Amino acid sequence: MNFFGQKEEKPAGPDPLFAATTEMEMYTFLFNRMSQTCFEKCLNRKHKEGDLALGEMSCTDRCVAKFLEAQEKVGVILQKANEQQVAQQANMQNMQQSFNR
Amino acid sequence: MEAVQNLPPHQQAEFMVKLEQMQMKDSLVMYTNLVHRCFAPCVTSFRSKVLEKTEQSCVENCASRYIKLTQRVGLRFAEHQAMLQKRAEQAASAGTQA
Repeated sequence: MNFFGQKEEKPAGPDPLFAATTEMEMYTFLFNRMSQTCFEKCLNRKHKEGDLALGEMSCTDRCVAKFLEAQEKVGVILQKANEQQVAQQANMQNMQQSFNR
Repeated sequence: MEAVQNLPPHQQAEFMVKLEQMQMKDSLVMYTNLVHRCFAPCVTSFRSKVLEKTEQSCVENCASRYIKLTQRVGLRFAEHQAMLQKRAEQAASAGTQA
C-alpha cells in the first residue's frame, strides 16, 4: 500500500532505503493518528475504570475499520487530482511548444 | 508494506537501525502526548499542588485505557493489512491465470 492506499509499481528512481523509511514513517503516523482519533471518539472521558468497556471495544473496532476505509477513499481522490494535474501540465507544455514553433 | 518488504539485503541492516531510532522517538512522542491527553480531562482543580485521589485514579485509568486501546487498534490494523495482502495475492494469481 503506497501513500494513496493503492498498489504501486516498482519505482525506478528513489533509493529503496528512503522509500522503506518513509513508508514506515507513514504507517507510524497513521497508527498514532488513528489511535488518537478513536480514543477521542470512543472512550468516555470520565475514566472511572482501568479497562475498556464492551461498548468502547466495539466502537474502537468500527472506528479503525471506518478510518482505514476513509483513508482509502481520500487516497483515490488525491490520486485522481494528481493525475489531472500531471495531464494539465503536459497540455501546457504541448501548447507552449506549438507556440514556439 | 511493499517498500519495506522489497528492501535489498545490503540495506536491511541500515533499515533496522533506522527503525529502532524511529521506535525510540515514537515512544517518547507517545509519552508526552499521553500525559497531555490524560491531564486535560482528569485534572480540573488547582486547589492544591498535589493530585487529588480522584484525579490520580483518573490519570492512571486514562493511561491504562489508552495503552489497551492502542493494542486493540494495532490488532485490527494488522488484520486489515492481512486482508489487503490476501486480496492482492488473489488479484495477482487471478491475473496470471487469465
